[in-house]
Amino acid sequence: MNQRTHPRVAASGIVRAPRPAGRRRGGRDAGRNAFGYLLLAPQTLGLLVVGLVAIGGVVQLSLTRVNVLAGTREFVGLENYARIFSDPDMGVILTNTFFFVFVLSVAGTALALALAVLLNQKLPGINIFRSAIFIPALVTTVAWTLVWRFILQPEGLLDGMLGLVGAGPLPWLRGGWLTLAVFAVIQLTKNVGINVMIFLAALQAVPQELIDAARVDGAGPWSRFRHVVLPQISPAILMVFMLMISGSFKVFELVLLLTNGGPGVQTSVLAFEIFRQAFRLNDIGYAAALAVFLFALVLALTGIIWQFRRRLVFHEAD
Amino acid sequence: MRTTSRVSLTIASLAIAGLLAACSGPASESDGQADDVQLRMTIWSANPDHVALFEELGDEFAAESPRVSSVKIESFNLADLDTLFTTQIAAGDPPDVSWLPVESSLEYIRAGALVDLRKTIDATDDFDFDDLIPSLLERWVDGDAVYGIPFSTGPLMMYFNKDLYAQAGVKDPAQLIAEGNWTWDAFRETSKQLHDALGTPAFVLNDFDFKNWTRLLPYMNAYGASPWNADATACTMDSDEMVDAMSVFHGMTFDDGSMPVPGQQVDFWGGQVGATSAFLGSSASLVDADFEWGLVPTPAGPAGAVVSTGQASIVALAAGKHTSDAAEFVAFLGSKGAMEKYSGYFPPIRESVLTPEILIQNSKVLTPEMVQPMIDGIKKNGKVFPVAANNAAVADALNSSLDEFLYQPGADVAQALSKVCGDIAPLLK
Repeated sequence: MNQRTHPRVAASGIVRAPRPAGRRRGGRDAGRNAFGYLLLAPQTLGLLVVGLVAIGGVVQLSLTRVNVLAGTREFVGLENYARIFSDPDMGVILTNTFFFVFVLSVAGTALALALAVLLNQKLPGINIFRSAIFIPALVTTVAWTLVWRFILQPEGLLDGMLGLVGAGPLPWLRGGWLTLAVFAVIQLTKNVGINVMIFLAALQAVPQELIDAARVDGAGPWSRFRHVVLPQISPAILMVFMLMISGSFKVFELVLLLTNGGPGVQTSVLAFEIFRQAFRLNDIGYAAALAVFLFALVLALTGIIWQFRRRLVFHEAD
Repeated sequence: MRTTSRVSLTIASLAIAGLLAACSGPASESDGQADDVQLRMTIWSANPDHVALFEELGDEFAAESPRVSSVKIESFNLADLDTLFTTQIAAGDPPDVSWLPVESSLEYIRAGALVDLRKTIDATDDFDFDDLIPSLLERWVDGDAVYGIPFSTGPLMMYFNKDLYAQAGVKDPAQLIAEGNWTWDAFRETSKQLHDALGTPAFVLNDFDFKNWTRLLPYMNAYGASPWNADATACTMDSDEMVDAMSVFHGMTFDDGSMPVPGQQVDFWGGQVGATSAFLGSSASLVDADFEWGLVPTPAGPAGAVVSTGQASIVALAAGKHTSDAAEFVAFLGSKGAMEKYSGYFPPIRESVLTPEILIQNSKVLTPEMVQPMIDGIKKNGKVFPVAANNAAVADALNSSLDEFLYQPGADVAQALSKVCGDIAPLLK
């Protein structure tokens, strides 16, 4: 439909007359567009220059065997990529990585939504609770992790509390699913505040008349939430979910500070393995191949979800 | 439209070219041409006294040198050594001179990452190379080539809290030495007694945290064990001697409860632990100690009283921009005059300055009587940390594998060490 030659229907239902096309308007549009591009330019140039050059550099490195100390570089083709699939540690590392992706994205989104719904109440002092949830997001991950290290250390606070009820002590940071679960809790509690704020903003933007209309139609609280509120905030849910997925691939500080990936590689993840290969084992080429692999994984997963957004998000199919 | 695309493309190309030009930095000066060379040296101490001392030595060298105008000293964390060097070398901006731990010596030498200092040393009149104790220099020498001057060669000593031993009514290390019973077995027994009496950990390995295998060397050396053979080509972690040594460590940690378990945070320097093994420099942590303490060598074992000796050298990096000036600065720092100045902080390998008086000159807590056994240890039965050609990978695999198999309650030590060998042996070949 050509909007210049046909009447336009505004949201209010008022029919507006078409504007005459002319050179003056074209010039104004061009100026407006140029201003828009100017505003976009810093970010776009930054992405092009820094992002693409860096990505190109990493891809190039991934095709080489680098001896950093000797300053030599040898082209090895896809050898580093083949190593990824023959690396005996990679099974554990990828399992751990996808564990975080699944738990942090699903549980993280659900927890943030639940907390946002709870905090979306007009109660006296509710802002205190909102602040309490948000404060961990303001603390650096390193500080947050170190506090947890004291809590989780053998004979630490958590063991002491378990001891009061005759349980424990438990090897919180000695590997296995327990340690991975502990990591998930630490990461979730650290970042949930930001997502809660996003959901709170979305919840408060839901038109009250829609909820009232549903109430008049006899919808109960759950039905109102499921069929009215949830579709309205679905773009926010998708955004948080995708942010959590890309973020959960980057779990790093916890692993470095709490277990160093060990025992063995029991608690290692792909992001930590990249660091270990590059800066501890000086194997820059393999680390670069792992980085490209991680990039491809994040891209593929977010791409798939993006493709599904029309089915998941209200208004996306329009 | 085409014009717009061309303009965009031109702008983008200019931006990229500008960025690349900015990133490439100034063209490197070749040696022999510059007359205002600025050297950069990295050290892993953040102690203001250490930094000031090396800055002073740098100024002194710059004043003497016809080409070097200044020396900049930069501190970093030893744990970040590989990260720092790999990043800076890859970026074409490595330091000219640095401290380097002995564990990394062979790897850096084999990679050609260090400058051969031989010619510069020979050309330095007052260097007096023969004053260096040969056995303590061997990790840095390859034929005639010399790749580093050890500036700090310190044994792991045992600090102990006299008050805690007295409170528990247990014989302290000094009393065991006086009895002629200073062995790991005897120490294990008294450690358990102290732990049983007070409930506190009796012994902690300083800077260990179950991530740094070199801190286990006092056990290994006392039992005649080593993680690999003499030329670092085969794993010996599963030898009988190693099993005996690690059984003592494992027993103290998981059976006796006299040492902290993985993840447990304890601090000797605050007075909560009976004893610790640490380097001489750690004595600075005891300046304000509110308890009585003593300093003794680590216990002996079936292989005798071996003193596990850590070492660090000053090296010139081959990737640096001013290698000959850097080599001259290393030779300057290794000369007797300069070494005398910092030997109060770092035990030297120069026979002439390895004296109790020089070693304690900057210490507020050490006495000649305390450091004399350490000097004896360095000269007579000191054993410098073992090195492997592929140190970064071997150390990482060793730490990781020990953590997975040995640092576990209920682990079968012999089986665990056999698995450890399975992990590190491929890296030694």
